[in-house]
Amino acid sequence: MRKRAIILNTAIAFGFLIVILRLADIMILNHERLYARAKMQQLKGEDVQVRRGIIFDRHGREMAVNLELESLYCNPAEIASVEKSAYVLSGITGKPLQAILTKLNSGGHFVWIDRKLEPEVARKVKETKIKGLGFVQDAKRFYPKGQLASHILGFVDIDNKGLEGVELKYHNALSTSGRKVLLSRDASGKTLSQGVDIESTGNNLVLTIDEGLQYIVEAELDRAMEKWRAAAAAAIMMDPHTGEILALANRPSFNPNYLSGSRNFERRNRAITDYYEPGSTFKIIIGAAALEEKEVSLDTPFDCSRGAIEVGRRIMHDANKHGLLTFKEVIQKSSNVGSVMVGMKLGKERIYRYAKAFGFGEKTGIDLPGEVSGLIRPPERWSGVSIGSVAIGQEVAVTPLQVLRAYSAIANRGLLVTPHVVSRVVSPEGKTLRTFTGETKRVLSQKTAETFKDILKTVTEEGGTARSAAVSGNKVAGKTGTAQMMDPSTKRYSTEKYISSFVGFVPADNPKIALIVVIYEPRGHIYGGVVAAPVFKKIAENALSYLDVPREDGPGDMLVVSR
Amino acid sequence: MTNLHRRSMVSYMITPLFITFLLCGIFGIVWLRSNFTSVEYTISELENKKADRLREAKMLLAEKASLMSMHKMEKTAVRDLGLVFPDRKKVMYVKEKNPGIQKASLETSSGWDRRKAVVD
Repeated sequence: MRKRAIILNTAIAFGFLIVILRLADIMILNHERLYARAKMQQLKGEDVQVRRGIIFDRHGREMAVNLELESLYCNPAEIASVEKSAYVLSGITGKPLQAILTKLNSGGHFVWIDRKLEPEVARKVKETKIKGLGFVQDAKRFYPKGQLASHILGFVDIDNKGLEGVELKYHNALSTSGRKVLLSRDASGKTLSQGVDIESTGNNLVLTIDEGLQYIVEAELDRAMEKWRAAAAAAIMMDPHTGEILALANRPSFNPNYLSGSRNFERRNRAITDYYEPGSTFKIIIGAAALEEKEVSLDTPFDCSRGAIEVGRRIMHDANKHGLLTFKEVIQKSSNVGSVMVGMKLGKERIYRYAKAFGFGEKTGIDLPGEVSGLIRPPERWSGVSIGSVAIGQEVAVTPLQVLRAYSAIANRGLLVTPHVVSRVVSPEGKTLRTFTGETKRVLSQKTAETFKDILKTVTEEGGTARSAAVSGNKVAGKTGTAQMMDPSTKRYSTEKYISSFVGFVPADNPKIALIVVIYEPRGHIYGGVVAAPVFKKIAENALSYLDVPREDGPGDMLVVSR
Repeated sequence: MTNLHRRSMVSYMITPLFITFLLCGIFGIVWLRSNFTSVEYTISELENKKADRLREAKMLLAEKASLMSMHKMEKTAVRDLGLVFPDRKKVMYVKEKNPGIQKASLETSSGWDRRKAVVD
């Protein structure tokens, strides 16, 4: 009996010894190696979901947001019946059968089948329960206002990389770098909370654009395009005191939500990437320069009775014979003959100097990609005709934004502003990280700017070229432009293709908005005063109403009743 | 009770007590560990639910922004409700004795006196 007890005790002790030795092996001798292996099984590397920041208009309305969708991938090695699966997937996703078959037969362990599926499509795919398919959360950029402000916002590619507009220019601010986080999981693959955020969002942008004003501008451009059966159109509205772009639109346009359906020329931001010969809107340069240099006064007479003037080997005409005009009337009636005479008084050096001072031939510095600088040749490269041509806005190439900026300097008492479309960069938590305020530089004395503004006011009055730009209740200061387009085949000015424009600001004595409207190749009429000025008037009236700017023709001490 | 008797009582108690404490300790550690894991599961599930709700919130935000677009609002206002964009010529101007913002709704900051100012 005692002998059996000794044997049993020895066996138990031996058993315990084996267990203790194994534990020592696991916990002490091979601890590091086994700990690492266990961790590899327990931890799962997960990509942090990267999301772009939201883009807001100046009043906090969302202009670009993210949709949370799912992307479908497959592990081809796990697909049991390739043909059948491809047929089912093709039917649900709408992708060509052959394309899906190629992906399923491609080998490897990961192939995208379709990115960013609509929720309904993703649900149908899940219901098929095809083995080897998987889903990944994915964000799709969505522009809730459709084509509104599409040339400002731009667009992104399938991987949410900015390709155009603000999306491209501020890609680094809007996006954030991706990284991996390690999450614990159990034997069944369920993850345990590690208290880490697996989503990382970029900074938000607050634009200077006002959705309401943008809508007004785009609606009127659409009407103008239809009315004049024009090839294209562009309009920019700016705060002349700060350079904040309130609205910027081009036609034709595109919807960034359906990018594949758009064409290159629709995506072009003509307002800053296309230059044109401005025509009479460029007379601001010779007019302002002549006043600043005291070469003329308001009443200086110019004999325009011949209706034509010879410069070099070219004869320049007025649309109508005007007779004797004062300097003020030369601008008001947009006399080419009078403008050439003023230009000759100034000389090419001073014209060039003032054109450069007003920002022509240089980029305005707007924070949008693709801006061109335009062209104005230095005086030493001018021909004998150039002084006459430049005086009436030919032989120079400008963008609509450059012209608007120059007129804003008149509205802003001689100070040239830097246009910009982004006002703030804000962190996801709402903290302002950066604010943008455009730089200003003086290009004219305050007195000259005020005087020239008074001349521009007469353009929309009786006797001016743009009475159709006059806004009921508020004075408008502005200038028409009608420019012939160069025919690339003949390399001469076309007699059929014109660019009609009107640029100005309102209310003239306390400007709230500066606006340019450019209509390319209108049909039926060509003059800026007929084609572009009424568009300016309509936009300005709606914008002033939207901004609650009171009329100036009522009795004093009045307040507008808010809507 | 003699000293010898007392010592034998203590030695008799100490072993079961030690074993009881040891078992309680081991059980306590296992119980805590199990609870900790259970809480982690719960938090993980709640985090997943939170992520789902946030995703839904983002989708709803996009839908709201789309519905609030000027184009859709104008369409609803003009076609469905028969409203018109205010004509500047018809905007009413009122005389104001005291400076401040006047509301067309007669919503006033100082009650009756201010309404009198409107009709003055």
